[in-house]
Amino acid sequence: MRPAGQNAADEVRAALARQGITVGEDDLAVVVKIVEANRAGLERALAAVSGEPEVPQGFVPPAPPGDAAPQAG
Amino acid sequence: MDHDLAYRSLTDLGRLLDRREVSPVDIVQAVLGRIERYGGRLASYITVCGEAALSEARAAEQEIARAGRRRGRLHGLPIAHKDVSLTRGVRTTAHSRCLLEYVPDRDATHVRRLREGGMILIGKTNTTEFACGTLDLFGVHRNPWDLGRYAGGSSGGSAAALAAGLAVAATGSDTGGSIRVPASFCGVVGLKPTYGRVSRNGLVPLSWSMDHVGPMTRTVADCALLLNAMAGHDPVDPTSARTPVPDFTDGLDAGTRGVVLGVPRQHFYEGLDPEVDAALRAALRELESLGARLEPVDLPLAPYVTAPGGILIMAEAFGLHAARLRERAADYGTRTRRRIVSGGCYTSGEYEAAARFRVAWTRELASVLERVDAVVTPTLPHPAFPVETQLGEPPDTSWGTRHFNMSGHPALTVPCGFTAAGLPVGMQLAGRYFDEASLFRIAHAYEQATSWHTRRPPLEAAA
Repeated sequence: MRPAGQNAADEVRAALARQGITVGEDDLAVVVKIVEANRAGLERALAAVSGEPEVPQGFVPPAPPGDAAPQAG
Repeated sequence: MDHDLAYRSLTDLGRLLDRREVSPVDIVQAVLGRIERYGGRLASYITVCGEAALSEARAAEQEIARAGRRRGRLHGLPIAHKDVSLTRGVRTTAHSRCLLEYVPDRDATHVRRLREGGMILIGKTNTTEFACGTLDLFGVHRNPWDLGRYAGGSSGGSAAALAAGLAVAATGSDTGGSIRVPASFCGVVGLKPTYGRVSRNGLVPLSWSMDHVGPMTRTVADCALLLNAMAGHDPVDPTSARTPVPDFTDGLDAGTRGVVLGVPRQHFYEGLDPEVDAALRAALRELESLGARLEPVDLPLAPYVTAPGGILIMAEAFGLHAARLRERAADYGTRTRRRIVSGGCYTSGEYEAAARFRVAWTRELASVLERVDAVVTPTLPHPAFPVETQLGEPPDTSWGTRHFNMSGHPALTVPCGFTAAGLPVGMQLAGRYFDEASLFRIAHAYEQATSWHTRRPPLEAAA
């Protein structure tokens, strides 16, 4: 959540500054646009999930049943 | 010099080599000849290994003559690697000023495996910077079907080279669609394998959980042949699967009778360019006529994948690039820098939320793939757009592809038509984990029933 009184550009600048990254004004405007769009999209995405989204258990696709190689045909 | 050799399939060229009707030197010379003629305008290569490739071809010729046979089905055939794959002794730039002088002392695992199979490195193909941004240093890879249009990103150099006969086989990487998008724009075949199927060791990384390496070719059979050599467990890549690797060329001719294909109700068929829509509808009818059964399927989370996927990719990319960005931000292209820097703005809670969405989407898709053999979609909602659009405000080309990077399922694009202006249209097939074989089988049946893969771009007319 954004602290009261802080706008999106201030927040982005501060988040990056904490990590040692300085951004110019031209870059900042575009970065804010990207971040705000993705945050709004993430909210919509989470709202579309029915129920509480599951906690990820890592990201490795399961092997096929019996760990056998799938065969064509 | 036989320029037509550069348009033959790997399978055909292998037969010609086995019968001693051509030599590896003939093939490499044919490809190099076309690179010399068209490479400049297409900007499909960053580095061409002319003399080195000829030297390797001569060595292959001698080895085959001594042994009386080829080492394997890829021996003596040239390959182009996207310039994000480390190549021992050959500059690997990722199209970035940051890596302009970088000459690796080792091969990426997939490069090594193809080299051990006897393939000859012909060159390193153009890519957007770090596979996600700018095209400042080596030019915009152009589409051979219309030089005023973009070849697609980020493996656009590989796709354009294949379409133009400047390569007979290539590799690419795919984090949100970067193999399938340019393959579709350029009218060639591209596969993003199952996550874990092909090692990422030696790939200049963008996003550890979304990056994939895969084959790009002009025919489905060639794609299967290339994956045979690229796939398999790699102990130095912790995400590499231990799943056995079948011969993907086995069963290619088994046809599609009885195959069930899911046609999503949501997202993938909405807002399509009318010519793309018509090409896909015709392709679905063709698949039905070949014996496949079409079944509408529900994927209600499909319209929401873009933003969570973008957060995951860019947060992971920022983690990889943060140290360099602190020191050398000015060496990044503007678009690359802005996109990667955006990844440093998300909170750990937002990253986690995106990962939770990923679980929900993956379960939804996997559940559908329990009932159908593959899901069929357009690869993109539109054909290739003008170069000026790419340099300005390009549309989100991962519109229909990022879904399968998020879930890790294999997905392949195959040409399925052309617009009236002569631009290729691609059809995407996504299947079950580690079941690339079924995708090859379905795509091969479709390809053999159609003639889209036999068309050639009008480069000679444009010369």
